[in-house]
Amino acid sequence: MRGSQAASSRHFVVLGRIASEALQGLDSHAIVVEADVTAAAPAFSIVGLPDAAVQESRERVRAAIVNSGYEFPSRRVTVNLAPADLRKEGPSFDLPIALAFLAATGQARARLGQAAVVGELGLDGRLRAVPGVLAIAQSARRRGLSSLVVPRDNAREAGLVTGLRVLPADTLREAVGVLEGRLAPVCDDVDAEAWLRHGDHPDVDLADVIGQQRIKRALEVAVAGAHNVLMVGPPGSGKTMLARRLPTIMPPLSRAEAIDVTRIYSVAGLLPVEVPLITRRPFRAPHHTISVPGLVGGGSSPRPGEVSLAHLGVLFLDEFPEFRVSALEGLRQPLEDGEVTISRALTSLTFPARIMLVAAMNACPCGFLGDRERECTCPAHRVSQYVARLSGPLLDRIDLRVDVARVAPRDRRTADGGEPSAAVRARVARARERQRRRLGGCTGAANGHLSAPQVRRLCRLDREAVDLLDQAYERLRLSARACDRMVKVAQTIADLDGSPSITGTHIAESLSYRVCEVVPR
Amino acid sequence: MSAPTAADRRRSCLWLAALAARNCGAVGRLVRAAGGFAEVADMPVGEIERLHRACRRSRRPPADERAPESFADVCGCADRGVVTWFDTAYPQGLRDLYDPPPALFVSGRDWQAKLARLATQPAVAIVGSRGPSPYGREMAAGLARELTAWGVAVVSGLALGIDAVAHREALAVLRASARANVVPCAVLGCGASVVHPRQHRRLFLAMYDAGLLVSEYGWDLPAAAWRFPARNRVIAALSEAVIVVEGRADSGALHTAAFAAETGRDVLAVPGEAGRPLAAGPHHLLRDGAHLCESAADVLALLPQVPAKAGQAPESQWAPADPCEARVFAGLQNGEQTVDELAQATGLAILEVVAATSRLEVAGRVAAVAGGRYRVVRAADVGSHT
Repeated sequence: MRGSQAASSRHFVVLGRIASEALQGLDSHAIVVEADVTAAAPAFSIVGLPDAAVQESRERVRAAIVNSGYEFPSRRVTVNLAPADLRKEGPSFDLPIALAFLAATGQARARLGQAAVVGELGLDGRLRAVPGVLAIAQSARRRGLSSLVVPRDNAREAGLVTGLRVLPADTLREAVGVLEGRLAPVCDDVDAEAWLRHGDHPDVDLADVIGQQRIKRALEVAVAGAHNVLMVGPPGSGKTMLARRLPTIMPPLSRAEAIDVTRIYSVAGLLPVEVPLITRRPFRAPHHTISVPGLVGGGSSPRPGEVSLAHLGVLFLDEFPEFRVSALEGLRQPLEDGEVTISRALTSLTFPARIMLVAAMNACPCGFLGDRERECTCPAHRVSQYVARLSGPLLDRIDLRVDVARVAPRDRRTADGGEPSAAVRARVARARERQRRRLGGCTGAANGHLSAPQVRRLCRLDREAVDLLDQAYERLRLSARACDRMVKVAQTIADLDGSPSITGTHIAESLSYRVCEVVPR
Repeated sequence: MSAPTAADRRRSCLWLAALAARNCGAVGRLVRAAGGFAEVADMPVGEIERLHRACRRSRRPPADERAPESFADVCGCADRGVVTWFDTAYPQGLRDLYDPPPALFVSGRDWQAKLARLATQPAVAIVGSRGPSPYGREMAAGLARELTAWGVAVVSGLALGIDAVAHREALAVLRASARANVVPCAVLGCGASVVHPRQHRRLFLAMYDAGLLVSEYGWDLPAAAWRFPARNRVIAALSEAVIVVEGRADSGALHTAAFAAETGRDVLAVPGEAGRPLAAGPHHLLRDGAHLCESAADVLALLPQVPAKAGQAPESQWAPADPCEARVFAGLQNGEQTVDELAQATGLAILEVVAATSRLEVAGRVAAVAGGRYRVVRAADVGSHT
């Protein structure tokens, strides 16, 4: 009796069903938002592993629906976010929930097939931008959906994905119109190539730095082979200034690389609205008080850390020994693998983090050890304590070390800046090309990423180079690992030189960048 | 009163040694009161104690009121032993001090033979700053190397810095050459079995194997600041000359030099750069008439026992064969320079300079120092003696 009654009433209920996307790290998963409205005591509940922000969307949805001129009936509303075992975070489900509700109450008729919807609602029914739209659009495209309804401010970002119709909306009413097929808004033109060309004019140049020819050469070598660098020098010697100019001598981002970087910035909510594409290589310089999750990524809902934000760019750590030991140790995995894996009880997320690490430090706590004008006031044991903060395994991942000396004002007036960044960048690009050919065509591969067996297999040393390396091993007390690093760096120098094999001169130069015994020497 | 027996004298000496280890200057006061160390040490213990009570400074709190326990009389053991002032093995040089160590605690493998050998060898002390510059390290290393190779025992204090460099270098020569009969000697300011500072554990053990460790403060006494200046007088008295390599104006090395001058030893000072704090000590000594020490030849000239052919001139004419390296090497002769400065001075390209400095570094002729500069290695160890 009861069963048949329930079945017949069920017959009149329209179930609202809207496709959407749930972000997890840098990936997005398809979800379906279902709304069911039944004649029962008034209530509004959301199920399907929602977090606090999703729970609060009830209030936003209710207000937006009423303020947009729709009815909010006194019935029992149940919203389900399926699949129920995937954790849903953030406010991007506001719009699909509202649309599913409107469909369930018969106030909207979803005619748009194969469309996903994301967006945050304001109380007045206006749509707000949400983070991670690029990842969402890519995921929608991959799954073969034909269109994506997004807030207007996210439209350009979503437009970066080709082969997906982006339907921007300003308000809930517009979104309903789009869904019913009454409105067909067009997205602004997205010309990623133009943005990339346009964004390629950095405001700094290597020629801004006066003198320091040797350091500039060292940085050229480092960039050409994607080697990590340690700069040692007193305060005010120009370490930060030099590091800031490193992205200007790196090869420009390709379109695919730019999209990769943009995806990370989009998820982190750091993308500008006007040109939602990262067109320059990132330069991140976190303060030394940064926490471990801040540096390598993490948090209860894992977000990319500074290493990931510096993906394909430069991570500059000034005052290197002052960083938390745990944070520095956390750098080891990304430096080794080019990505960060963050494990949680339910999930394990991976963020890309192929960075060039540029560490800077003083030679001693007071900073003036080895300075010409000022005497260092540190007792010897304080200097060794300071240096001991850097662990051996971390230093093993640094290929070059350069000492930066202060340039006297007198010399600053007479010396010139030397080559502009563009000239250096051209040489770097040629050297990278040579490496790419030798290392078998894979894009990210550079000498800095070679493993020890690869070094032995791929790097050819001539007779004089071998002799010099052997002598250096004895005289300079190099470790075997340090020797491998020397060969890697020498290979990059040979690539810059256009030489087919590593000569003694290349080894000699690489020896001057050796990392062993940080300070004092 | 009958003459004291050898055993009585030994007991007195050990009692005095224990007193010296806990009371700064007590032995000196006793010597002044009695008119000579032999007179003090000839007294029975009870009498020395009475004299000590009588002449101790009254203002001082009576921290040493308890009679000092005399040190354990360890002797005849292969690896460590005691020689008292009355023993024939007691180093003659120490008798020049007005307050000599009443007993010397010696530690080292086969110490008796080594102590006897030390008595036949010229000995030179190399002392200096605990935080030396690379230049100071090189000079100390070069001097220790040359002197040991010429059969001179290097004496120092096993402290950080110059002392450690001198000891290490002397031991390295002994390991590498047939000159195994030279006995480097470390004079400690703590007990003769105490490693201080801790990071010198391996150096301590190496000295134990190949050299001698001596102290006037027993075996196990921990280090205390006041004993180190007192220890310096032993370093000076054990040697025929004292070389001060680097030190600030208040350096402990100057105490050693002062003791050396008091006891009639030659004082040598290694010159530094004018105006550098670390050069203040040696320059002060030079002003007061110390000998100039530029190389081991200057030291050997003062030691009549070492054959005269030792006085060879320091190597200064060496020049690299490669023209680039030669220009860079010449450019570095007048002081530390960065690569940029060298390039400017020599007119070579940055890359040429970088390659040249690295090759010279591998050849042991120049060294990289803090601040990205290179300097010429003075007293270069290019394998002349090994």
